[in-house]
Amino acid sequence: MSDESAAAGHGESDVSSHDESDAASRPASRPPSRSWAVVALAGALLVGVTTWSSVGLLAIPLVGSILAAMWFLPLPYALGTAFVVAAAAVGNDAGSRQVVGVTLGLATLVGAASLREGTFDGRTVAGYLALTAGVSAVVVVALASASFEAVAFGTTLGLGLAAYGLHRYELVALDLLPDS
Amino acid sequence: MQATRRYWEMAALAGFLATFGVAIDSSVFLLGGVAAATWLLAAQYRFYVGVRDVRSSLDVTLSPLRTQVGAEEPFSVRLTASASLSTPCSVTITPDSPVGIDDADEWPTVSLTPDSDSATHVGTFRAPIAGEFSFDAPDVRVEDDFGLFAESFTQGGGFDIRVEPRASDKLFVGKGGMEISAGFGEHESGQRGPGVGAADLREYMPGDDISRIDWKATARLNKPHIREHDVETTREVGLIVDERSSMWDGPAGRRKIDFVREVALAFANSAASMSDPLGLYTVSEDDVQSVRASQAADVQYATIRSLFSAVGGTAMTTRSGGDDSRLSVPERANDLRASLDGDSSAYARTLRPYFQTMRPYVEKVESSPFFTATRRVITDRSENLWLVFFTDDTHREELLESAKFASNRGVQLLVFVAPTTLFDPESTPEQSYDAYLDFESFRKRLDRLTNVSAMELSPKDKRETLLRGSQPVRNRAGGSR
Repeated sequence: MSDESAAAGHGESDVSSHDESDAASRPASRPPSRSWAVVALAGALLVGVTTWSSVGLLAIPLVGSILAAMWFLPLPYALGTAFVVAAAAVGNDAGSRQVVGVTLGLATLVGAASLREGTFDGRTVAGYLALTAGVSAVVVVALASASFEAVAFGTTLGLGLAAYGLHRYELVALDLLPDS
Repeated sequence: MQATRRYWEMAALAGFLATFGVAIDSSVFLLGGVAAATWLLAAQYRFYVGVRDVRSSLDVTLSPLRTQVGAEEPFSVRLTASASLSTPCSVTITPDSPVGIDDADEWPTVSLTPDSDSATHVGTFRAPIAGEFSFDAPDVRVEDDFGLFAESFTQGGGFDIRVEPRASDKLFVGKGGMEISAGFGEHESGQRGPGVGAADLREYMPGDDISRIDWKATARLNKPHIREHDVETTREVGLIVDERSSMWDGPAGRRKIDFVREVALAFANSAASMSDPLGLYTVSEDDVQSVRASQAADVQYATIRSLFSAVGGTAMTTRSGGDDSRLSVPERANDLRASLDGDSSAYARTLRPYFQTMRPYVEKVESSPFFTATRRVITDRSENLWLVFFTDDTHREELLESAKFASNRGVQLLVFVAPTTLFDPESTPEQSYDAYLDFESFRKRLDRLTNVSAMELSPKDKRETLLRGSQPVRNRAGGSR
């Protein structure tokens, strides 16, 4: 293989190879965003304030351990660890407002981690938090009039259908359906 | 959209949290599952936006530098890709060569990221067999930065390439598109008289030898007739082989000097079969070397044939790293003669006279080596000299003047000239065709000289590929050129 200039000079006889990136057309690298720190602080405050009534000063090490988990662990493990710690802190007798507050606080921390890794932008994080808040609100409302199992099943089914629907929509909208 | 293992890990976590919440009747865990699932949903939408951007902005071009090549001939394919990526995802583009096409090297994957959104690669391929081959549009794979999703599709266009078969005989020798098929050296004297081969009948003239009367023809025609025969003659053959750097153009085994070697070897064989005196001269950048003075001895033919048959060219010179050091036949003969000295065996006594009768010489000149070689051969010529040039069209003026010099002195001259453009792997078809036309014009100019016959010496497959490939160009130009 050869780069373009080598090919122009030596044609097929040249067999060396390397990438040629068009440096001139590269966009300037985006400066690292610090907005994730603000979002993480908001999430930590939300978790701390929500659990303060249940654990008091223990809310500080609780938030610290959650932040450490978010920083050092891969997201699935960090999220699992955070919810286990939060559930242990608030207990089963927590009110719905407290549960939704903890959930939104942790979701905000997940969004902050995504911002830090560059996988999400601010709009996506905002959309994610809005979606989480909306579904959580629906779950809380549904729990008042339906059994816990039915609400859990319905929530899982609804989110699964949403993911599958988005998958099918992508195939059709972007003309990615295989020819058969 | 293909979900990766990491996606399923996250989905399993969401399911576990929800299930655990149901098991212990804890809404915190249920909402934890909701938080994980909605995060996946957001990531999925984000990926959809990224793929949509790639589909709309990615410009992939896969194009050959030539659309018509010969079998076993390397050719280049250029892949250019550019995209405007606003979402953090990576795009890898992998072209796939069709079955029957060999990658000279493994084709690398072209990657695009938001920081490096354009790239170009040139790959070298080779087709061992002839046929029509289609390069499909390259495969594009998009992956999100978090490693949750991937999507593959093809984008851009492919192309077709025609691979011409190699000619059964790789060597083209001819003029003006007419290939000669006769063996070399089957020369006629152009004189009539007593001989072996019957040529013509003519009426008896006073003074003719009465023994030459053809009595059957005389009885049939009622007048005495004499049958003419072709006069057998020997013809001195002088080979002048250009060994300058331009003769080494082209890939190994298909250099000009390789083709020259084949034809020159045929001349040596023909001269040997007819017992013609044969001489060999080589021309390098700045000197002329008489490798073999003209002789009709068997050892002369054998030595010259062995030189031409040697691997790596004419072997009058041994080239290594551009060094122009020479291994001359006279030196070898001297070595052999020295090794026979003091040997009283029957074998040595038989061989010694052959080496003692040889009087080779080496002469160097200062300038215009080809012309000097020509002048040298013609000065030392016998009455019936047949001079043969083996060269290319790099030094045209020198070649033309040498041919004129031979022509003006009544020497029969045969010129084998190799068109440089057919040995140049870098020129485009259009450039090659124009250069070939120029070469043909020069060859015709040589051919028009008195007593001069100019032949093209070229690789047959490349020549045919060039002429076929240039057909559309000529048509577009408005007719034949």
